[in-house]
Amino acid sequence: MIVNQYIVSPAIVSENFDNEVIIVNMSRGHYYSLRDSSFHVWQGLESGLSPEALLAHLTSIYGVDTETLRQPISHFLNQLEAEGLILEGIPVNVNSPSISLNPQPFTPPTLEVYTDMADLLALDPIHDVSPVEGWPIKK
Amino acid sequence: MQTLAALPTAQAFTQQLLDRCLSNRQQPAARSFHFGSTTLNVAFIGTNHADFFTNAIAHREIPSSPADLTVFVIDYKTSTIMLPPPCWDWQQADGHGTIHGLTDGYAGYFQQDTGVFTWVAYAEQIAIVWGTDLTTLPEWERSFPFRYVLHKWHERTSRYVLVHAGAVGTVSGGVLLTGAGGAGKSTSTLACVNTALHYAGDDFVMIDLEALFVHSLYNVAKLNVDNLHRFPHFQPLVANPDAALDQKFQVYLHQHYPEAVTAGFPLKAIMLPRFSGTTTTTIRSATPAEALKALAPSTLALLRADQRTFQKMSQLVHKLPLFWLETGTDLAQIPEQILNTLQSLSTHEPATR
Repeated sequence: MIVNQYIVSPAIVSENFDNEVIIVNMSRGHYYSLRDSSFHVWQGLESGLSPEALLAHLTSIYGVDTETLRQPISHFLNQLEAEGLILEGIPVNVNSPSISLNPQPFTPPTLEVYTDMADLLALDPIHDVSPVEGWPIKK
Repeated sequence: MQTLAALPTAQAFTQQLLDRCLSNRQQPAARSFHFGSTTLNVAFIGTNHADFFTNAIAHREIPSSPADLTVFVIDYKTSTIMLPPPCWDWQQADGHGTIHGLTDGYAGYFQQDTGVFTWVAYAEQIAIVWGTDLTTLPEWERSFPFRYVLHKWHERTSRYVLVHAGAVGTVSGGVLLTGAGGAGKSTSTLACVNTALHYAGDDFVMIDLEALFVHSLYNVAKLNVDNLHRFPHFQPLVANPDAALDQKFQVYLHQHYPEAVTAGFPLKAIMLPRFSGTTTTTIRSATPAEALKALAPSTLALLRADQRTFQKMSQLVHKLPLFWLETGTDLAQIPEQILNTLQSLSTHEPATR
């Protein structure tokens, strides 16, 4: 399905560095590193670009045609959506992200996923609550 | 037809809880502990298990003082003080036990595996740590008591943040040592005990982001069972020699090496330990992104922290010099390299900020 617009999930936190963004998704217990082209894709998404506008933005960064980018970017956006990092929606504001003046060689975006935090977040769902005191019952 | 009773307010819940604490026949004497600008008074109700909660913070104890925050530690089994009916729906609790959607000014966390409920009421300046039977708490809980209380107390402020890191230094400055489990954080920290570097912690410490200062929280040195042979001098000092294979040995440094433990020092750098695979220890620059990846995930997970803590850690990695600490098997080189780096930073300080 072609999605016309994405927003960055409000459930995640991220921090931008020079050529890397670190994203933490606490509900899933994963964190992520986005570098190189994936970094530029994320910057575009944060700026509120639609997938088509994002392709145009990346075209100007990498000096390649839109069709070269379409499949790997679409695949990457699907990955971001599957990880719960972006959602379908309309951004509040759209800003133009900055563009490097020197074209760079394009490599398909990759999502580096780290799952070691999930091991520390032992899921312990509360199932049963005593009707008398209203506190969870240990079975 | 069944009617649903209206939930009490968080304020009413807190007041009921406080009334039950204060109506206890034997009023407990509170003990005072000082962390940064916060004086924490701890009062035990119905438990003779106080050492379990205070050995790790014994080095921060001060004479009885007015409290910024009073923590009541309640053992249900011996006090029979039950919690009032909750002021939330359990659907508000996430899979980690954090209760969401509470009235602003209150925080709650129910740790189902231990049956411990923690409540922090900011305006009332009280916290409650309630357990069905505190004698059954796992051994590792004694190594970082009140971490959730301290974290929640400071979470709303911009000044302090608790981080999952070790810290060693001198009176003029020191370093944070942080990384994912198994990176060598504890080994590096413990290699510095009884050297020129003082110990501020090897698990959690508190950072003053305004003053860039490390405040020690816990004086417990923790060692993996299979790592004890590297520190034979700690062997007779282990407080839990029967630790299971998946637990860590604990050594209360304040009891055995009080001169090695410090209340804190100015923070000069962050180091990311990583085993080099050789005998030697070397230092090289790290990037802010690498430092955040080392610091943030375990801090966020272990404290059940949110974006505010993430943002504080992001600030921190932008403020300090950052290094990889490639550790070798010759443990004596670790404090040497840290001291050399601190000396170098001291010499070139204006250029590093």
